[in-house]
Formats: sequence, structure tokens, C-alpha cells
Amino acid sequence: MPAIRLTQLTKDYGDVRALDGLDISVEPGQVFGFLGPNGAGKTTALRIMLDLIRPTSGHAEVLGFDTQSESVEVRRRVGYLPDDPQMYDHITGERFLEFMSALRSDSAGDPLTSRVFRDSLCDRLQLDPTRRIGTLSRGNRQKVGVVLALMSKPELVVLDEPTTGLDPLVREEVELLLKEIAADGRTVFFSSHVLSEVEQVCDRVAMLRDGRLIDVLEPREERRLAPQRYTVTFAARAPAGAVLAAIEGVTVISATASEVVLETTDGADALVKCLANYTVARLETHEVSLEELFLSYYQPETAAGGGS
Amino acid sequence: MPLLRHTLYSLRVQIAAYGVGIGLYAALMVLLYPVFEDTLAELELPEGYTAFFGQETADFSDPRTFLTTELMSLVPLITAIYAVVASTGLFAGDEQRGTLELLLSQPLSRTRLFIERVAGLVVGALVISVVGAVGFAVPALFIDLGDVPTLSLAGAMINLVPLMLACAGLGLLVAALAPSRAAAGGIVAAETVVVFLLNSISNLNDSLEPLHYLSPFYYADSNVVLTQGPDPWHVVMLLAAFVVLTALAQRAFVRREIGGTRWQLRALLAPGG
Repeated sequence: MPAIRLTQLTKDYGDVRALDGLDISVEPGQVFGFLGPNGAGKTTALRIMLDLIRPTSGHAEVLGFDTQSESVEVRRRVGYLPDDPQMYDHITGERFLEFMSALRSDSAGDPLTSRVFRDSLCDRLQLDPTRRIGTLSRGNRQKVGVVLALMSKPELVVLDEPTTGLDPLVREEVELLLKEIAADGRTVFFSSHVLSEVEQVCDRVAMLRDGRLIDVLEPREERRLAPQRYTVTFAARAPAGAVLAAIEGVTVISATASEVVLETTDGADALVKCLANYTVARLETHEVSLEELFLSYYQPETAAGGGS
Repeated sequence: MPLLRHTLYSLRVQIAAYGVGIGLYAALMVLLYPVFEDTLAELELPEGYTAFFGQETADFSDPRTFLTTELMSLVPLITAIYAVVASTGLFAGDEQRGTLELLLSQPLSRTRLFIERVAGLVVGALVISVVGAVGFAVPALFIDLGDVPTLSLAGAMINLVPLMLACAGLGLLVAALAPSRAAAGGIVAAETVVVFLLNSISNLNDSLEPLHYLSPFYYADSNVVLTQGPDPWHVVMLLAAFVVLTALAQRAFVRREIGGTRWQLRALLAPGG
């Protein structure tokens, strides 16, 4: 059973179509990224999953429960962090978390959160929960939101831009927490437009544009399959482009008198053996990042790498 | 019931301000009566005045008349304003601040959230009326108000609860449909002032009299509550209005799109929960 199954999910706001027939399936134990520019429909999809808004058409199922008719059961099992979470400014973070803990109980009415675990999350995120929320910075309020989403050890964590406002060290700690959740067999579903974060953490990434799914990628696999680009600077004259282009699996991108830029998917070994015949002054390589892949998907429709 | 406690905590300033304010106002009027007693006995009021506030206010030598005119003609409007402000802010305020999103992401049904928060609103109305009743009745123990029973003063304040609830019911319903708290608050506040004036104006002319049936202030019996006591049927009608309006508000709230910026009239009509 998928942790999340969105089927032909469509949402209209008047004349504006925020989601257009979105189909996504997320398996348990994954960290699933939801990537797209502002207005792509990421937050809309997340809010439908929590039954904060209803789809115009289509169906959403979370952990086997219908998000509308069984929304309480969904929310019992889901920890949610909205984009820019708003809390009660006049109370402390601790009191706010206690209030929310009191609302989180299983079907028998027993609490789902433990104070010990909640405190350990505060420690890991360097959050002082005794301060009034109104006095906290954006980053510290975000930490309260992250603790709230994770404190009941939910089966599914749904996070909307979770690392917004966090400093790099805390951001790393959040990424580590998300990986631990997945290692525990639970599922993480988070939206982001920070590509490096998605690349770092996610097992799979769905790319959205104008409410439509462009493609679902596996960053590690994509990186493995993506062509590697080399810039070779020769001590003397570069060999003729044709010599390098003749190597199987190698494509010459550009060539000058002493420098050649080329790409290869599986011709690295043959390339190195060929270069051994020349004096190489400098060899630079770089992998195609998710960012480059991402940008290629967000070029005009004709140049996009996937269908919609 | 964490939500009930939280609601009362959120409303604590309003409840205290309205309760203490009305209590002090009532106490002051009772304490001032002996000062003006002799002067008031000789006072002849213009016809328009007594028509506007009701014929029951014609005899100013009676402490009931003084207290009705100086206190009970205005206190219903004050308590109605509490009901409007509290009810339109109960969910719409949280929604506008964004705090409702985190509340609704917890495992509780919208119906439970609605009921516990409305219960907080009702408790708030009771507290305000009880504090007002204490402010009204306690000074009367030490002041000679003739044959006016002290309990009738307390009862007059408690009788404001059904009016507050009816106004709150409308506030809840409009807020559940409106795009913002400001829109809901503005509309219901304006409506409250209009129906308050409608009730008063309907006393000026026989042909206008039927208009007062449209006003909840007519059913609050504030101009006769000290002389005749409340009409039980009027109490029932106000409570019935609260129940019906609140039930409709609950239906709309359960189907509401959280964070929506448009009127959500469909929330009342849409099937399912």
C-alpha cells in the first residue's frame, strides 16, 4: 500500500487551475521531494492531503485512508509543517507544543507524543522552548514547527519548505532527522525549491510545473546516468577533435587550440586511455547537478525534458 | 477539553473587559439612583423619548424606569457587540492569522473543534452576564430601590445571555462563509446596530411596530425585564435562533476551504463533510 496516492487530482480557484490531473504514488520508507517554482501547486497538493482544502476533482489517499472521509485518521498518522507556520505569539514554544500534544491522541485517547522525545528534538535543533513565540526569530519559529511535525513519530511527515529560515547547521540536522525517519521505515514528503537539499535528502523527486507533474526522478540514479562533463587542457596543442570524438561514448562539446570540452556517459575508461597518449596540463570534471536537470525541465515546453 | 480551555484563555481579555465594564456600569447606575431620585420624580420626559425607549420608561420616579432607561436600554447593545466580535473572530481570526492551519492538522474533527470553541464562547457569555449580575445586584443590597427585588436585577443581566447567543450564532455563520474576519465582523456589526435601531424606531409609530419582530433586541425584553420579567417564549426564540444559526455555521465550517479568500456560500450547500 502506497503511503500517498494522488489520482488525477485537480484543484481550481475560480478560473485559476492550481492542480491539473496530478498523479503521484509514494512508497513507504522513502524521502519524497516535491519540487517546483512558486505557484506550481506544491502547497495546494499538501493542503489537500491534510483536508484543509478539497480537490475540485480526483482523489487523494494517505496511508490507505481517504483524505476527506477519513481525515481524522489521516491526521492522526501525519505530522505536518505548513509553509511559514503561524502559532500563538503570547505563549511559549513549550506551552504551544504541550497544547498541540494534548490534541494528538490515538483512537483510544492515549497521547501520541512523549515529552522526552519532544525535548530531544528541541535539543537537536538548538531550540529554547521556554521563550515566548512572539519573541522568536523566523528560524526559531520554524524549529518549533519542525518539532511539532515530528514529535509524535508519525508514519508520514508532510513538510512544506521545512528548512526555510534555518541556519546551515540546523538545516543539516533537519536533513539528518528526515533520513532517520526514512531509515525507520516511515515516509517523508516534502516540498522545496532548494535543489541541493532535495538532491541531498530525497530518494525520489516529483517535478511540478503549472499544477502538472513533469516527471518523477531518482536523484542518485539520475546522477549515475547523467553525462559527465570534462574540460581537458593540454600542455601543447590539443589533438584533433575527431580523434577524441572517435572514442565510443564521448561527445566533443567544444574545442580550442589547447582545450577540449567533452561529455561522456560510459566512455570514461576509453577517454582516460586515449588522453594517456598526450601531456595533459589540467583535467576538470563536473557532474550534471539536479539543478541543471531541473532547469532543463523548466525551459519552454518544447525544450522540456519530459511530458506533462 | 484543551480547546475549550484554550478558547477561554484566548477570550479572557474580552470576557474580563465586558464583564467588569458592564458590572461597574450597572453598579454605578444603582449607586447614582438615590442622588437623582428626587429630581427624577419631577422630570417630565418628552413623548418622543418615551416612545423611543418604550412606554415603560414614562414614570421616571420608579427606579425600574431609571435603571431601564439608563442601563438596560444600552447594555444589550454592548453585550451584542461582545458576541459579534468574539464569534466572528473565533475561527476567522485564527484562520486569518494562519494558526487555524496547524490546529486543523491535528487529529481532531472540525466538528469537535467547532463545538469546543463555541462552548468557550457560550461560557464567556455566561461569565459576562454573571459578573454584570453581581455588579447590578450587590450594590442594590445597600441602596433603597423600593420594592424592586434584588434578584430581578440579577435576572435582567442573566436574561442577556440568549440575546448574546443569538447574535453570536449569526456571527459564526457569516464568519464561516465570509472571505475574512473583517468582512464578517463589519457585516454583522452593522446588522446588529441596524436591528438595534430598528427595534427602537419601531416604538415611534404604530405602523412601524411590526418591524421589531425582525430584531433580536425585541425578544431580549430589555425595556420590560425589570417591570414584567422576560417573556419565556422570547427566550426560547432567541435560543432557537442560536441553535439554528450555529448548526448552519457548523455545516459551513466543516466544508470551508481553509485560507480561502472568497465568499464560500457553497460550503452551506455542498454534500458530505
